[in-house]
Amino acid sequence: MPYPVRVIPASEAAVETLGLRKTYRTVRGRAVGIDGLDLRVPAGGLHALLGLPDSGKTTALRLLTGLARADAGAIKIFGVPVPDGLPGLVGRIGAVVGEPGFQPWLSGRRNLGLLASVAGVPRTRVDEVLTRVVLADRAKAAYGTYSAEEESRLALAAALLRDPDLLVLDEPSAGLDAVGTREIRQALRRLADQGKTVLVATGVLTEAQQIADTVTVLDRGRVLAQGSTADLLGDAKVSVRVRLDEPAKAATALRAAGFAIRSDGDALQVDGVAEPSDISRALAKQKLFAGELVPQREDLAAVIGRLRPVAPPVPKPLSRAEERAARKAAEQQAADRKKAADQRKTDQRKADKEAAAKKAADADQDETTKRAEEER
Amino acid sequence: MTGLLWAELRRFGTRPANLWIAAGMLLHVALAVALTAFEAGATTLAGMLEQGQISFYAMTSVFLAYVAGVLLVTGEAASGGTRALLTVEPRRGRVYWTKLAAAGLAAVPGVAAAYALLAVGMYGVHARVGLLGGPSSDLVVAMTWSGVRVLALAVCAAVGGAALGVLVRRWWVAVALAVAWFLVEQQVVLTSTSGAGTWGPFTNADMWVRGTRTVLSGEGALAGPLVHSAVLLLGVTVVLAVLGAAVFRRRDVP
Repeated sequence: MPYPVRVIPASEAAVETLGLRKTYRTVRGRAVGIDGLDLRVPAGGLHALLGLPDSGKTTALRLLTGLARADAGAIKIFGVPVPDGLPGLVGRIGAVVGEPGFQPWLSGRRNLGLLASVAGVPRTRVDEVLTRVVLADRAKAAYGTYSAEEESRLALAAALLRDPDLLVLDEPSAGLDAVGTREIRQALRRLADQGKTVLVATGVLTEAQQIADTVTVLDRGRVLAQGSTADLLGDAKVSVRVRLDEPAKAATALRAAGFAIRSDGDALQVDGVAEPSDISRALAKQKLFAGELVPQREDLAAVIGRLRPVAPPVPKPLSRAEERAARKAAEQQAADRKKAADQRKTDQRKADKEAAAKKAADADQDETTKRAEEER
Repeated sequence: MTGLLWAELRRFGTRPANLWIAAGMLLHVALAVALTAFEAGATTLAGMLEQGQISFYAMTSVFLAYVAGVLLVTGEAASGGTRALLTVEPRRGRVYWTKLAAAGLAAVPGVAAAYALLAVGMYGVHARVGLLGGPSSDLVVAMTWSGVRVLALAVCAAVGGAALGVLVRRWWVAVALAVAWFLVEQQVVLTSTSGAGTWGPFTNADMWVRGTRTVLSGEGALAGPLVHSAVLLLGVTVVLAVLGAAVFRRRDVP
């Protein structure tokens, strides 16, 4: 099947897609991975593809990097049609999509060396990128002995080998601890600040809020919203509920550290917190330790629920049995209504009769009284 | 291109499965030599060459080369490696042909070592009891040429294995297909239709390694069985490789 032709007008965007569609064959038929994706990643800065699992983030990156082929639609990277023009973009794109496929028996340095020999990059560049991702100390250790964080760093180093203009990363902080996550985010932010275009697929709302300049929210393979992170998601600041033994002392300590405090029963509410661990640190300095520290923020599912267009309820067509049951119920209701009306009429008639009889009796009584008075 | 080939060869060499396969080749021929040593008086070396016993032992190495070729392109490690390569070298055709070249080249050292051990071992065992069965210079030449043919066949098997691995994606499917084809060819085709066996890949592989000089076709269409076998085996390899290339260009990388 020839690659479907869709024309994207020239623009300043680093990545643009138009009507991109990708389906997969499954045992239950065809599953839609991406459905009419119109993506626009501005050149320079960090763009996040944000979405719940199976929203099509990884599929989109696989299509952009030529690892998968689209069923329909068009892609342009730096104005070059992809995948046909990918060989012309060699050196301008660095990507880590899925497992990087390093050899566990080789050292990190050797693994990078192999990729460098493929890319035609001098060996000195390997040491440069290893230093850049702070992995020079572990460069000679076998890749199989690396921690999750070191694996991510090496993958990032591989993507940086050719000093690319566009960096494509899938779930860069997946499997990392808090420190590793923060460091990898800082590294990506630094690259974006240096003028590179960084495209990150993530399912972590705070990651997008903390590091992304622009964001595309994906839902079921479609673009739900696209724009600046601040406009779409707000900032990453949260309100944190803190419960501890000495709330008064804690409140003083936190106020001194510059936090805005509210009293919330026997707990403290700290508003506008960028990083909840800063609260623990401020308390620990005063030898105070929180028994409960709960960040209360909008999660990704809530954001997607907020952004998802509200569809008008579509009347569900009834089955024959349901139609019969509905007709029967309507008939029953009509019969009940008629019966009730008849009953009301009968009651009315009875009441009228009784009233007439009473009136007649009263009249008779009046007549009798009148006659008796006349006789007297 | 050289860097790509080097990277693939390194990947091939560092996979434990391939190291086990190489060890398996050596162990198999060492056992064959040891068993022959116990009954060294049974037959001469020339007789073993003529009866196809040497080629039978060598064919196991060829089959293992095929498995190694399959393993180069199948499994999660291979998929990850392909993804990584395609992100730095998006020319799929280049990546594919390099994989096939790497499979063919990587099969050579293991098979050569295994055949050298087999040939030297068998020669030594028979020479020790004085049962060479012919002039030693002729036997050396015959075994050397047989070794060259085994190497050529192993390269074809590894390349074909890699191409079939790309087509079917799962190593066990590719290996099971080869075993099933072998059984069908040995049990059904050879026994049912006379002459059909001359078109079977396994029969021709055996004939190629033996270097049979008997002309099979009476119609004169073929110059000789060696050329017939060579053309057929090469043809099968080329067809598989081209099919694999067509699929690799279009298919999504898992």
